[in-house]
Amino acid sequence: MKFFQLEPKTHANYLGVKGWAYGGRYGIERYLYTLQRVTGLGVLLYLPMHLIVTSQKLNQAGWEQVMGLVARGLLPFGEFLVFVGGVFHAFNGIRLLLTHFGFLMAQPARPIYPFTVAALKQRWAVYLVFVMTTVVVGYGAWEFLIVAHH
Amino acid sequence: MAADIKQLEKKYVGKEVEFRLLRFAPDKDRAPYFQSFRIKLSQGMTVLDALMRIKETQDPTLSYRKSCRMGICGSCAMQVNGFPKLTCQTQVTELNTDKPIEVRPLANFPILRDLVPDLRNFLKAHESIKPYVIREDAEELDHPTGEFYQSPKELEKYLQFAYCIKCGACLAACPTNATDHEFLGPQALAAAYRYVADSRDQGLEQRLEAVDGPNGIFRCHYAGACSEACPKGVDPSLGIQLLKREILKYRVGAAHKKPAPLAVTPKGLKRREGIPLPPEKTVGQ
Repeated sequence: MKFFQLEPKTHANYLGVKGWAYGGRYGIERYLYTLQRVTGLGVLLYLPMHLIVTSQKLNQAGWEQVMGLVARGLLPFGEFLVFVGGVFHAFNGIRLLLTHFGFLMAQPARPIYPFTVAALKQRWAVYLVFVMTTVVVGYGAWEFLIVAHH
Repeated sequence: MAADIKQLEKKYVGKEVEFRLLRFAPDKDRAPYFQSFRIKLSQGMTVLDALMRIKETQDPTLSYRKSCRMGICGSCAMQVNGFPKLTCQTQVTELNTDKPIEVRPLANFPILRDLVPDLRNFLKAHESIKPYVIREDAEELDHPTGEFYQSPKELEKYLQFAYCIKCGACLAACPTNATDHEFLGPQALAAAYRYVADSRDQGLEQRLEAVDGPNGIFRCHYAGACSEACPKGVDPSLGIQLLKREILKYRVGAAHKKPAPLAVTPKGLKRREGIPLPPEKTVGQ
């Protein structure tokens, strides 16, 4: 006997990229997920531009002319944003690497109401990422935006 | 908390509340749309109760899934005001809002009709991770001669993940599932860990094909939303990270798991008086 199955008509209901941005009432880790991706993409986009600019075989005058171009307007601030993104990406990446291999995780336990989640037990690592990022970015802001212009 | 519920009941019970329900009839609608219904709240009314009231009194064509109505079967998970919840466990008063209550089918699943999601791919993913104990001594599994040893400590390693009711709330919360439709998903991955962590199991290698593929476990970047959405406290994101560690150990050749041996029936012991006989053995007769 031959069986056949009817293929029901459905309507797609995926949240798409909106699902990254809309954290809703979830914890901070869900926002960090998105921020990690955005900063990763930012650093990735910056890298080829940086390589193209710095790999030009120029004499001193040419080099200074190019450096003068990239020091105009909002470009230094854009560069600073890439730096901020890179610092956050690095520290949060270390947290994620450790998490991925179970080092910052709690041990499984019987679920007893009200339930708790392991993510809450490593919240200190999230705060540490923020503190480390703030310290390095603060120093970077001094170097990028103040020392470099005097 | 009890006082809060009393206050909320005082505030909302007996009042009319608007429900905005997503409707979609595949044979006549091109796209889903919202339809509003108003009902009077009664004490202890859950969102599922409200849906049933609407179906009984206002629109018998409204479709949704339900079965046990007590948080066991996992059929009635839906998006309630944007968050995946078991509607049978969500009281309308606890939502504590004067705005219309929006109920949609679970996100990241295709819609079959109204509030009914298509769970076929979800169940296929669960099936793909081989959700059963795998052992090299297959003969013992097919024709058991006894039980396997397992200490309470070994049980604790996987028990939490065995509470999964496959409601799909974790996939609706997962941002990776939002864009990667082929991603295995938190439910299947946590279920894989449930078996890998089981002291009786030897199936990690057999599960790797499904678990460690291009749309597998390393697409998870620990947003933790699945654990927050889980109505049973299963904490899938914990299971997924622990499974990653097991896979890493296996890949570097550091996984040394001895499967639980068969329990031996003690011999030569005398039963104390007054102790009732154990039940009949179910295996190895």
